[in-house]
Amino acid sequence: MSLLDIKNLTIHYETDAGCVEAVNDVNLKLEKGETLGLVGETGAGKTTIALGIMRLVPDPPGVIKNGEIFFEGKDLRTLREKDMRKIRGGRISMIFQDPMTSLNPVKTVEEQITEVIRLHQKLSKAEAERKACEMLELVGINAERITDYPHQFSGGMKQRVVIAIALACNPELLIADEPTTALDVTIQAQVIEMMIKLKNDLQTSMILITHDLGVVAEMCDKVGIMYAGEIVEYGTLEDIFDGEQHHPYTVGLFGAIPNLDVETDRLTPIEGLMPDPMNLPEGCNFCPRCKYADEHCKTANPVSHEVGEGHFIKCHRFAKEG
Amino acid sequence: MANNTVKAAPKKNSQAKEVWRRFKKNKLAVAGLVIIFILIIAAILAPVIAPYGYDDQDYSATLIRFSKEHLLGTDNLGRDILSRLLYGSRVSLTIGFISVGIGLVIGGLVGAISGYYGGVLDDILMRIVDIIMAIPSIILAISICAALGPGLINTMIAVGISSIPNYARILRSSILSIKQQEFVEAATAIGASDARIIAKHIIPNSLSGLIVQASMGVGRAIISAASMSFVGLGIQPPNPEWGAMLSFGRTYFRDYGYMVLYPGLFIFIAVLSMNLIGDGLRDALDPRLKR
Repeated sequence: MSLLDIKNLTIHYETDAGCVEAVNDVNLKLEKGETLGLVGETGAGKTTIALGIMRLVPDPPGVIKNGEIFFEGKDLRTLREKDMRKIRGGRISMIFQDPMTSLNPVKTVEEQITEVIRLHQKLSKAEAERKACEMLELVGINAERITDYPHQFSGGMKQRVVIAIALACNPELLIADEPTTALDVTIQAQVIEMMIKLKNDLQTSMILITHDLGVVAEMCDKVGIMYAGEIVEYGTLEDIFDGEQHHPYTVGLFGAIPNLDVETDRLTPIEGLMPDPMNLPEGCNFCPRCKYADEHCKTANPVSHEVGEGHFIKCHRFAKEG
Repeated sequence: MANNTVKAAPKKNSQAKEVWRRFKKNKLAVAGLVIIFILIIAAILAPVIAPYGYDDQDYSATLIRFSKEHLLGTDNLGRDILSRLLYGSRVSLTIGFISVGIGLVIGGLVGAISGYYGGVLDDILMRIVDIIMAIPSIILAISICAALGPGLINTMIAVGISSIPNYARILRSSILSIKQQEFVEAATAIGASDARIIAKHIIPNSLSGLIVQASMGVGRAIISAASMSFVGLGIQPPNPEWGAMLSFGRTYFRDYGYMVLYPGLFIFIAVLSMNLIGDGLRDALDPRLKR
């Protein structure tokens, strides 16, 4: 049994202006101890998947149209709200993008760490406080600072506190939504290094949402490339970074990374823009930007084809053998 | 972490202590607190410290401006104004605090619920609040008082109800902006319930506006109660209440100005002190302003 098994997840935002198809028919599997990287442009639906797992999709306007989310064999979508609360923070934790705003400004760090501990574990106040100190030391902050308020910490330290809160109850699954985007580059490196260490020490599975392929290469076992609400390519780290066969979008993404050895004046972006999620193309979502697109691509949405073991590509070009 | 055993956190500085430490730095607020404290003590000890009873009349000594026996003079019935002011502070302060309490609790609850849940519930609650708001608060208070009958408790209820919309509106608007913030989502993501999120995360963040409103509200309630007495619906004579004394003295205003001056001064000082306390408290409760 996989730790997390998402089947045919479809999430739409039904607004007055129209229906935003944020996530379409996504399948994902995560085994215990693994790290899955979700990569894609802004608006590709990465965060919506994360919120979907936590059942935090803002409703209205968000609607989970279809699909199942199995966590340790239980379908999270059918759980009662009360049971879901036990899972949030206790079994599945989430790290939000911006540490500046994801801590409550009027409560001390101690109150915020002990809150999650006492919500999920039957510990006395003193025990919870001691545990909070331990967590703070674990993320590399001196325990003496536990009575400080969030504004007294720097951005990188705030994100460490957020990570301490997320890991305080030893969750099975950690969802990190662009954990380093709001930090500057040197701090990013420190935080990532720390997350790798903690993940290995605590044996936590993780879903890492990011734009940064470098971070993916460092941390992930599996990678899903997302485009316009769909996972267009999914495979192991080796499949994605060293494999022979790729979705044209993946090729474009890697092509956009500047090469340090070659002098270039301009980056090589993928031509065009992501389609409006309110008005997705009829056929393959990527076809307006794809240099291989033909008439077939414009009318039929491709299915995922397994090109190697556990390596899926959602593109007509790989349909031949299947 | 290996060789670094976790030290006991150097806390033992409780939240309340911390707030008090910051509050102390604001000298004006402390002055306000001292004055209110003195007024409360005076109110409690009125029977002991007042030189005369509040309705002791002495027709041989009416309308005295100042004498050794009557430091603040006497009124037209020969009652000692200082004694009446001291007894009056009991009534005025009670009205001030209790009616703010009524407005704060009910209004706060309404505002919190409609702000957090939104939707139809919000619409219904806010329309009711709008209806109350559409009636000028003094007229509303007067009509409630007229319906319930005059008297101390009814005055407090009337003044309290007419202040509900203020608190409901203020809390609702600050909750609307706070619930959008990421830390509320983060609190949901650690498994906190709605009630917990409202009580522990949202309200502490919206307190500052509410506290200022409430502290000024005490002053406003004293004045409202005073104006109720002024039109004869509030506290009934011979019970002393600052507003009632003010309205009673207006007949003699031209020749014996001190009869209005002293109660007015007491109202002014109490209201000002409450406002100072409110300002200081708001700053003290916001850890971001900590120096």
